[in-house]
Amino acid sequence: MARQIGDLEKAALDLIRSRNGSILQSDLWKELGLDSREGSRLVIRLVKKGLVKRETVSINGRKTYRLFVVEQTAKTAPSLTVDLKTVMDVPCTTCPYIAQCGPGNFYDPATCAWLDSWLEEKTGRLRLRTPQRAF
Amino acid sequence: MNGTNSSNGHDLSGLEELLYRLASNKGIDPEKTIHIFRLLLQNTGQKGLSDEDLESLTGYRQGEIRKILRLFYEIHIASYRRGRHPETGATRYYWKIDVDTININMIRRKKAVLEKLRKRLEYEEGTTFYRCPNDGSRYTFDEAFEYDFTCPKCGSILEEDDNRPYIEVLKSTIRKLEEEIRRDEARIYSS
Repeated sequence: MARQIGDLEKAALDLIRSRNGSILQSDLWKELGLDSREGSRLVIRLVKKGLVKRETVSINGRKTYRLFVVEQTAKTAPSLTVDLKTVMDVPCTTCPYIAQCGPGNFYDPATCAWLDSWLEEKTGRLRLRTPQRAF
Repeated sequence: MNGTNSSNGHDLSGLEELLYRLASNKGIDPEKTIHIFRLLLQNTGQKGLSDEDLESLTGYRQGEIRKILRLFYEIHIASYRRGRHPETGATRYYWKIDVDTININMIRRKKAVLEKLRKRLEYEEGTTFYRCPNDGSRYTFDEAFEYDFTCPKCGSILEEDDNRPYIEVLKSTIRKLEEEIRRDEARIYSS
């Protein structure tokens, strides 16, 4: 599984976090006691897992990367902040034909029977199904 | 895999209710729909699940599963990725729930509903209606004219119908929705 994080990667992430979430790649491998080859392989692994982002910088004419931790809190807790209470009351919300519905179409908001009965219900005019006599 | 059967403490109950009702209106088993939704949600962030994975996890028929996935796709809460079966090389589709855009897409749905209500309001305001005093069936002016203002079912004289209560309901719902959408958008785009 690509999700598992090794000890070295964890140490690297902790180190970056302790530097306010960004560090130079060259500082990272020096502080972890690795050589530059191991360091860059480690960083590539982190980038592939989406844990770290990097951008090119040049320090004293030498190219290196500045690394940033990607915080993933927002991703792990999806929640619905849109209030669906009002809209759930309208039959169109749960209508499977909403995409085909429009003026002049087979499904038309003007003549829709579901909207008819919703309106009747809302206005307290729900008709008796059996015909009534006037006298 | 973390999380158990419920929605992992995430508040998606409103969305689940929408899915439940939408599925029943479409003639799809609503319980199975919710089950599949939760399974996909638990696997978000990984490579996604194919319809065959879902089949072996749930035991539902593949046809049913595809119908449910299609429902998710239609309301823009799920998407798929084309991939290859690791052994046979056949094309497979791996599905996941688009958790990041759920809120935006629910606003989209609200806007679509709002649009329908506006169309209906336009129609109610621009049309004169007649109603049979006996059985309550409603006719537009043109229809009533064609029937000589008598009910085609029972023959009684049609009366002009007052649709102001309808207009009132439509207007207040539209106002409420507009206000809600404005607040939702402010909340989502500011965060």
